Amino acid sequence: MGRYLVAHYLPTTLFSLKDSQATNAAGKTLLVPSPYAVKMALLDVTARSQGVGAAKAVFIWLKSLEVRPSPPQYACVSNAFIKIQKPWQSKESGAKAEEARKKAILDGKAPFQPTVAFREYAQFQGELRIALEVSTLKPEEVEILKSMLLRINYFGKRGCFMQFTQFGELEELDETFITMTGDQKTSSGSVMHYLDDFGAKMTWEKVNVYLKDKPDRETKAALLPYQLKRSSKRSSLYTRVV
Amino acid sequence: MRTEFRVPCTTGTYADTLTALGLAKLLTVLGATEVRIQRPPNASYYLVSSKTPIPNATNAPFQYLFPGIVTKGKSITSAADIDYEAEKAKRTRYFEWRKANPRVRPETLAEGVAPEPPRRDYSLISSLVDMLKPIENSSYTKTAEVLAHQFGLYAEAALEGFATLDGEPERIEARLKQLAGKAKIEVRTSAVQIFNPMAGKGMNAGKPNSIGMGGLEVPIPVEMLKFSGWWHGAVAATPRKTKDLKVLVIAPKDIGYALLESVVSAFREVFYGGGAIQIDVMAALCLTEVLLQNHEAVPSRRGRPRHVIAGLNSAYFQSLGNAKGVSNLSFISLPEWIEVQDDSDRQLWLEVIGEHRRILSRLDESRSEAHNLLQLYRDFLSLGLLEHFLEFLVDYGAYALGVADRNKPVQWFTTNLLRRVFMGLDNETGSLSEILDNPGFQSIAAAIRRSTRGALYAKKLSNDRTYEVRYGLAQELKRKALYKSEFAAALANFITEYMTENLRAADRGKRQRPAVTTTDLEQVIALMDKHNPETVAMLLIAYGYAKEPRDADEPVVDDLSLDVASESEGEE
Repeated sequence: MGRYLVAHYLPTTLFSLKDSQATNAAGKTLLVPSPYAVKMALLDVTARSQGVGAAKAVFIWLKSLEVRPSPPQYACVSNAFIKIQKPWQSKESGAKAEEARKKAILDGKAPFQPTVAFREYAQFQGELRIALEVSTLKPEEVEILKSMLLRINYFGKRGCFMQFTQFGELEELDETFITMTGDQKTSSGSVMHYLDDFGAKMTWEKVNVYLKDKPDRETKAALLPYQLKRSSKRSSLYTRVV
Repeated sequence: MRTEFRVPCTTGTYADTLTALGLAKLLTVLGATEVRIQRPPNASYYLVSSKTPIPNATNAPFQYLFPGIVTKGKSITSAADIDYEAEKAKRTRYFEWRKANPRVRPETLAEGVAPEPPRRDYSLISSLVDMLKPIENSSYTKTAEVLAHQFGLYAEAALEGFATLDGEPERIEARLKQLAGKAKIEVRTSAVQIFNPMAGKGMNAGKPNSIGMGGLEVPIPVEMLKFSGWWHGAVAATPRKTKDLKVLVIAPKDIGYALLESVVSAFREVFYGGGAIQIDVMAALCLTEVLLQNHEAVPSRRGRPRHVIAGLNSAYFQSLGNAKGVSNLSFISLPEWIEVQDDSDRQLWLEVIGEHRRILSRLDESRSEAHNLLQLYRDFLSLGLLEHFLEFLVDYGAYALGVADRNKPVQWFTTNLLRRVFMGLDNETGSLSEILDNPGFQSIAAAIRRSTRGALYAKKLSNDRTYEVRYGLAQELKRKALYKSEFAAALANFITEYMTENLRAADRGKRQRPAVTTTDLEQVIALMDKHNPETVAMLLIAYGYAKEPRDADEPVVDDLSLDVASESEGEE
């Protein structure tokens, strides 16, 4: 087994994953799934296919795993203006607010109200690859990881489907993979994202969306091997530099 | 000692650019010389450099990075503050006077006769007042207040942040706390959408169970740079017939800060709004024009405006009633196809831009036909693709003919200036010059010109109805342009009718037109065999609908009067 296990995916629909610096008002998309998103996708499929107990066990060795995506050869990002729902907010305060809320619910205006927002959707051409550093894992853990990776069918926003195609192994990551703060090599791309990963203090309780513990997100600057080829009001075309 | 600072471009919006511009301003107020902003090739950051090293700024005295804005009922505390109500009244006075005196140009009058014009950056002030309601309680004003007391600490945290800490907000925040020691200091402020187009008030949570409507908070040392950058690289405009707001921020490629300031100032002088698309188009053209006029910015030997300023980051804030929401974030590039070879070439490019500005400023974006034309042109301008330009030219030719037919003034593209654009688009292969110089191509394009605008102006100006005006010719030929055989058949059909008309006119002793020969048609077919047939076809139509600088073979018609009328109207 090489140092990195690489899962290959073919994007089959448009991709969108809101930058964690963005609010719902203007969702610019990342051009790769963040390590946080990849780990959450793995926990999700584990919980769905083998139960929460298995996911909890996987979390222990998954949380500190190094994840490095390699974006597809081309990404064309379309600018879209879509209708969304946002929580209804009362203009009143105190007791009147609750009264207004009840009335709004009766009128069908609450708890959500329609509004519009900016969203970006990326159309990929080529393979998306996800490399996971598995040198510290036991063989049976690698097998579990493999079985989960091939079950993943979307990254990012639900509906951004990916088709798993194959596994590969690499001793060293080539220049088509992203590099992050602290990595020994630096990518030659000109696109930078702040990507989230599980922080050192991440716990199962913090990951679990049914509990209120605040998640420990660690944000790192990531260099993507992309360059902006063309851009207009409606779209931007990125090509991989290598 | 620090001379280089890196501002990472992590948001892909103008927030990064504002930070870089603000940092350049900070270096300048701290006494740096020859400050330069660069975006190195394939780099993910702006490099802001100074010739002189920047010392520790912890104890630096207060310097204005951005002006305060004072609205109704508040008093001005500093000369650098802007009295919004006074500026608003001044603007209202000026435009009321212009409305009452529509034919008088204020610059031709003696000083004091016409009211003082509004500040060129008025829209920057009004948009802040509108978006930061109420501005007195906004993070903009609060930041100005904290800077007045502890400027040095914030300045030093920003300098360290971008010199050594990779610009990561958490680390800048931590460093600011370290610098403050035991002193009480404000560290964060709310992210405001007009400075952070993707992070305004809205939902953002690390977990879906904790989502709320509160905005994001950002470190003050970073935010203060954006506030400063706003005044040194942004333009804001309300698109005609809307309550929306469009913000454009100049994205430097490689330019000295002093030069950038003069370019921005000149740009704000010449840039006027319009419809939402017109704003993008005019901003890119005006900025290119200003750069071309500046020999220091664009050298006469292989100088490209885009190598100085890459383009404009833009955000469109759509009015939703009570508030404005972001409906688009994009980047409009300056034209890649403009390269200055020498001083006469610079003049030619300025004429090209002048012609494009005159034509595009006259299009009424509220009409669907003009709207589509502007969209096509904007795509061409930013993407630099020949096919977009050809489609625009062909559609514009048909549109212009319709306008002229309704006895309205219209501007036409001229062949010599179009040729310069085509040459710019085709620097490498040279195939376009081979097509344009072909005698057969020239002959058939001239025949198209005579059958369309030539025939129309003959009818309108001289009541000469010898030849039929071929109104639908552009659309008909464009439809067939996809397939070589169909286009060749349609072209042959047009030439047959053209020659039949010639014979009929000769028979009646009327005005003659030059003939189109079979050799001409063969040459065009040969061009279609050799090059992309659709490109040849579209070029032929585009050239056919353009005006020759001197139409020697159109002695009967003279549309000069119409063009002069339209030019003066365009300037108004």
